Amino acid sequence: MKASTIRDLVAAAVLVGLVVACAGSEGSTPASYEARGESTGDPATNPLAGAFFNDGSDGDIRARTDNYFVTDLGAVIDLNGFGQGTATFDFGAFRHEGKDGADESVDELVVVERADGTKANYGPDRIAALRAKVDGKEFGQPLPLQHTDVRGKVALNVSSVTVTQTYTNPFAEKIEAVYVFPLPQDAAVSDFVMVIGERRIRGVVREREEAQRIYQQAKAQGYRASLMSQERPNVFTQSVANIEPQSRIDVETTYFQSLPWRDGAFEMVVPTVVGPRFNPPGSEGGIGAVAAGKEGTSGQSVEVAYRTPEAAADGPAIDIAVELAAGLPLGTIDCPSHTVTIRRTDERHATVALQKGVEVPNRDFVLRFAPKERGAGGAVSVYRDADSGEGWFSMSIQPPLEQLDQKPQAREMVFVVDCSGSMSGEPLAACKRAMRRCLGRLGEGDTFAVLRFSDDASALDPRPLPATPENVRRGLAYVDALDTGGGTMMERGILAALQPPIEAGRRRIVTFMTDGFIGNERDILRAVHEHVGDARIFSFGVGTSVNRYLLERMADLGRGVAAFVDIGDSGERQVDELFTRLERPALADLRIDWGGASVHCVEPQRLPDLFVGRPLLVHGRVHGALPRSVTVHGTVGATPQQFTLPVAAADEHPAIQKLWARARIRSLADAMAYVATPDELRDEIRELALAHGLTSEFTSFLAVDSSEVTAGEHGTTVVQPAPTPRGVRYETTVSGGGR
Amino acid sequence: MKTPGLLSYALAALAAVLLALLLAARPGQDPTPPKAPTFATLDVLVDAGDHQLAAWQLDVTLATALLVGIEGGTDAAFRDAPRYDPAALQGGRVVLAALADAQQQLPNGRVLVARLHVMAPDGAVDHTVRGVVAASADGQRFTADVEVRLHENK
Repeated sequence: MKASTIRDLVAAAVLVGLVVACAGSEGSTPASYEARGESTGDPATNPLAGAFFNDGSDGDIRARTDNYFVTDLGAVIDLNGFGQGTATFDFGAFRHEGKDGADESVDELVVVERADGTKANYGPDRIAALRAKVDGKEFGQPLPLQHTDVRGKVALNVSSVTVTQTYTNPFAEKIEAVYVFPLPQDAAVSDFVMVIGERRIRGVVREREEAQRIYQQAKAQGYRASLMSQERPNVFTQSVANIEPQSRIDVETTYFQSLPWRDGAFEMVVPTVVGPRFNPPGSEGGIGAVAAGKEGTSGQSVEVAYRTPEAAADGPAIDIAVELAAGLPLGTIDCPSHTVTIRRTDERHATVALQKGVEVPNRDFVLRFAPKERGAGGAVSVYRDADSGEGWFSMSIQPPLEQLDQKPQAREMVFVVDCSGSMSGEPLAACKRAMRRCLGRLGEGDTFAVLRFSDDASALDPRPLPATPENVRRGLAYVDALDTGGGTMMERGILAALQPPIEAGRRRIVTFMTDGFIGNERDILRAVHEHVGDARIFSFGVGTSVNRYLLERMADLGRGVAAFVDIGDSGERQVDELFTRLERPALADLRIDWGGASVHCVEPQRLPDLFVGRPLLVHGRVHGALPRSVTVHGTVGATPQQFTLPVAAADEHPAIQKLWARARIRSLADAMAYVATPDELRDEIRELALAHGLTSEFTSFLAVDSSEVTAGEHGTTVVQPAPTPRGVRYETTVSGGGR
Repeated sequence: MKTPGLLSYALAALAAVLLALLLAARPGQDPTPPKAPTFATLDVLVDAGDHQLAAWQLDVTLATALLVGIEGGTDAAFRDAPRYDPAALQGGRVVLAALADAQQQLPNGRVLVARLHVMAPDGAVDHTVRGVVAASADGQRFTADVEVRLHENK
């Protein structure tokens, strides 16, 4: 290091006024350390510039905590995950490319080196990060994911969405970027493209283990490669290998989705972050929630790393834009989750977009839209194979249940509130608002119970209470006193709600209010399947990034429906819709008469109950023509009912084939939770996914650029941390407090 | 008493050598580590002759190599990566198809339309090509030559 450079740096750094970003209590990590090196460049434009250590003495350290060193000049060295031991700080080259492609300046980045000389740092296999605060603005640690761009197109009720993740390498050596991110639980992920400069390499679907093996080989040999694997139907891991310093790789993922009609509008949801999950003690196959830099500490097979809320505010932005072409004149368009710009290009088309570059991906994007008038009967989309004549269709069926007038069955209403640590603060407040509304809507003949669960389950009363004014007041007081803390032992809540015997002649209606932040979904679904009996489940997802997969499946198994309440929402609309559904009889024991058409492989195989405001969406295959009408048979109470509905002229959509395959895979995957011999199901899922080019639990997308070997070793793995979902307390969900 | 001792040592050494040779000769005990698979790139060239190439479809069978990525060609009209048939891929066939970008001028003559990225477990990238279909902008099919050749990687 040149002394003059160091002096220049000191002067420059002092001039721009680097200030201490983090000065906590004294800590002990690591036991001893040595620091050397320097950093150059213009601190006004580069937050990494200006930080340096001189000669390994403690004199350069202004403050030290368990997780950070703060230098005299205000640079913060984040030691999360470094652990105890002797550490040496060194510097790596950090080059800036000028406009003409030449090196414009050479800066340097702090790299922490272990005492044994391994380059691994910032954890056993991590790169060190440097954080600084300049003129009061904190610069986050350099991260590979720079930006996420979501482009959606909606034709009728089928959406096609392309998610582009932009990865760059801000470090001095090659890296592998790993990012766990969400997609909608029923998305048919059908395309995957790795973009390097102007080159576009389309990925292929392979068996999961095979794809993983090929990816590891490519990575080890220095080839750029991308791998996307499904961890849950709504959680995926993206890995991008051999990103060279200062270079960029984009990964484009495209999925199709049938948009559900929910209480007066089509609803499109784009999840942006995986909520921090709780895993029961002893489990290993869950999804761990760890602080950034502490990867590998949860004991779970999949982990999501989370940034502190302060750091996340400076994280990569997400842009979302959706083109609507519903095929009919558009009525209302509403985005309850975000502030958006809505531009109507004509009567049938509109675009909806977030303000560019300002949104942090910390909550679900929810878009609701409705045509001005909705035709009665079955709306159909179809795809036909020209060679075989085989067709695939998607049909939305909604009989006019409003016309039915029959007294519903006497009810036992069971409300189950998740009081675990992740519900702390705004989510529990939203639950309480919804609960107050629910208790206020109870009818005279109802009985009710209020249960809470976290580490254990307890109840307002050991037995369901008649809904008298006095008992309702007791219930309200119980709800007001609810508090959070502990884990999400959801199975205990399920058993407490579903196991007790029920009074003859009553229908048990169970309403779960939860964020669904658990990693053992399959255990929960198995428990619901085993104990649901004749009860109906109406799950209420509460929060900004709910585990919709779990909530929807619980409702499916309980032949009810799911609804979602944002933290800023009063919940009144959703509760009123719930009671409207309960007060209008559902059509149960459904059967569809296809009018002689050769329809087969219909999904779902077990048709759910039909409720007002929630049409039935079925996917199926057909030889020859679709019928002009279908007849829906069912029962209301004990009375048989039937409706004949016209089938609208089918719209052609190429994605329908994949949507059918996705629906079939979903059924098979759900069944794996509770069948004794899942091997056959596994094989069928794998074959379906491979034949239709879809991701699944057993298949992954893989793309390798075999045309060029990048220089040097494959580098270290950098896990992209996610922001904590809005309204969720970091300290009660990630850092261990209360969970 | 010294001679029998030396003989014992010699016999023991001989036995050790024989044992070592025997162990080395046992089948399935090859100490050579398995060869790492190799990655390779195949260029797909379609010769449209005097026709303007607007669409093409190709059926390639890879002997032992595995397809691990599909890249578009160098001509602007075929820069986007071609589509593939996932069902055919399960049978070892790579069925590719692409339509030209409507915004670009259609090429003629010999056109690099795609690159196949493959992993060859045994180092070989043998392949056979069949079922070549080419079409012009008006939808007319025409005969085109195709060549799939190994790309010289960097």
